Amino acid sequence: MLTSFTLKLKGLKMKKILMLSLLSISMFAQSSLELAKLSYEAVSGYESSVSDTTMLLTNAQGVQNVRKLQMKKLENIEGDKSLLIFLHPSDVKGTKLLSFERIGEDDKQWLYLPALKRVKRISSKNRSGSFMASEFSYEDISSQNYKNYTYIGEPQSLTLENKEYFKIIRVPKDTNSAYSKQIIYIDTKTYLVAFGEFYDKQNRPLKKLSFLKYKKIDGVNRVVVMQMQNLQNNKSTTLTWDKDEIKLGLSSKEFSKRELK
Amino acid sequence: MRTLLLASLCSFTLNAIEHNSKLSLNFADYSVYKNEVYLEGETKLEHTSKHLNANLTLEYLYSSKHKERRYLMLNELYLTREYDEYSFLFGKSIKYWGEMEGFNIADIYNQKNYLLDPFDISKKIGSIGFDVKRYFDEESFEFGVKLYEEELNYPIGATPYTPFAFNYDTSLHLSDNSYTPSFYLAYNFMSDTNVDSESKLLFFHGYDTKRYFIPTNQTTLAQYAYRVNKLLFLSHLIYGETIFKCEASYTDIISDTKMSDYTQLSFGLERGFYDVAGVDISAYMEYYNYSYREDEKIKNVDISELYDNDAFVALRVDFADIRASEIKAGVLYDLSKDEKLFKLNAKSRVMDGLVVDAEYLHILPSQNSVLTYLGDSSRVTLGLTYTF
Repeated sequence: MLTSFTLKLKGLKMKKILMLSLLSISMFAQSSLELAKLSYEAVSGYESSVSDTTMLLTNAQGVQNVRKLQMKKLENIEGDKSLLIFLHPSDVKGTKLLSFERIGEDDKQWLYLPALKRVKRISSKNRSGSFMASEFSYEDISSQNYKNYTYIGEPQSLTLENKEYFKIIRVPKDTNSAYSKQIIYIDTKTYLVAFGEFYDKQNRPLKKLSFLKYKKIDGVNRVVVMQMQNLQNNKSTTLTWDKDEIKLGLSSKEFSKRELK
Repeated sequence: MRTLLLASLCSFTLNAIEHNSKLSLNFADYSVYKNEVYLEGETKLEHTSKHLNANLTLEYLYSSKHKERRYLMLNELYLTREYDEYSFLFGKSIKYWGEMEGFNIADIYNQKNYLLDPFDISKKIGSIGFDVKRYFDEESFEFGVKLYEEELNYPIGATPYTPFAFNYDTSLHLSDNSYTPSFYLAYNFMSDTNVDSESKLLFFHGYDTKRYFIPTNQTTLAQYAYRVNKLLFLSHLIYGETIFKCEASYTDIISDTKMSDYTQLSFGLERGFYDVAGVDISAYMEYYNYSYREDEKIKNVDISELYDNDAFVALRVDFADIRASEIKAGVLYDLSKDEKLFKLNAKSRVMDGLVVDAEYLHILPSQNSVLTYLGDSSRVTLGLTYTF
């Protein structure tokens, strides 16, 4: 009896071990692409948003400077649309940047210069250029759609400071990107990106992106604070979402050239 | 109680009005003329309600040297209304039509403000009129009417801002009258089938932006405005990392025997180079042509005629720093007359809202040009601008 119970118990343990192993295999069977997709989906579903943000720029000497902007975004299956309105400093107040992301193609971008009342088309090849003199480039602030990258190798699981992450390596498809590769660390529980290491075209470490705080709004994960550190010039920029509203029912009409005035 | 109510009302009204002001103190050193200090500024007010948007721009200038460069002007006052796929504008406003960086052939709605700076294409005088726009997905139609032809002011006598050494009578002489309306019809369209492009086709019927001077007595000149039909085409297309641009116009003179019909053409390219030793560089190369149908008629009366067979090459260096520092340098070179105009401008933010800028302008004119009166001259300006 005891023997049969012990055998049963052993059998159960075996089954559990087998199941865990299977789970583990299935987990690791997830490719980097699948993880990237899950991570992208973890911050998707906001439909449209309007956010007031503060950008804190810190130079290598520790001197700080503040920018403020309003970000309007629209989720779109063919690529997100965004309208950025500069609010501070006052000499750039009213400048607007309208962007249409296009999967597999160059984005479309227009800049509105209020002093001239001019809508100027800008080349979206400027993806590596600095955004508002910050350490974020235009490609850093555009949507991080998983389709815009190719993935190298299988994901790795690792523990850093008692937290578990999936580590994936992605390469921007855009030949105008400033990066040769990006190593992304994804939280194993939430699939939210925790931080990333970006390498320049010479494969040297260039920037470190840290997502310092997320919050849920209407069941959707939203970034609250993110920081970009430039490892080569020791400058950093922290972007904070002071106010964030989602699912506002905005349409393409609110993201047309007509809004640039 | 009444005070409280009034204070609440004032507070509500002020809250509903967005304001932005700019005040700039400048010192100008001229090689040929006496130096001047001038204060230049503008205040913009905008009131937005559910149905209507109201805008006002007040412009002010005070020169220590030139009396005519002292004014307070309501440069814009207009209402706009959006209704479904339509937008309406009524009042005194400034519009921008153009693609080029050096000079815009197509920017004909407003007169340039020569009192402020004849060498800055962004300095313009508001025009009174109304327009209606109808938006489609990637196209729009626009119909507009200009209701009044503005008089222009110039400093009297030889100054760095005057293209002639005579007295000037500000009253405008016209082929009809100041209230004879000018009309325009514009069609904007874009394409992204093979290459991304955006274009505008515009027909204008009314007073030409270009005017000429007539003597009112032996020592005084006044401006004369005549009516034209104008066809304009503007376009840009993006190919790879380069933006190709074009502006063209044909002007048919309706009511004047002294002026010749004329054609203007400009084309150019713009290319950006990013993160070059930590800076972003934009390069511009443009070419302008101006041809008269009848060679024997009046020429060289307007600054637009400078761009007759000219090349414009410019660089903009953006230091991408927290001070938003940038340097712009350009040269306009007349390929047939060997006339040159150099401009170098640098600016940097010293603290939030406070920008310091410096500019160097050097003119090397040829004979029989709009610039001949100015002679070989240069201007150095230093400015401090506070925006609040």
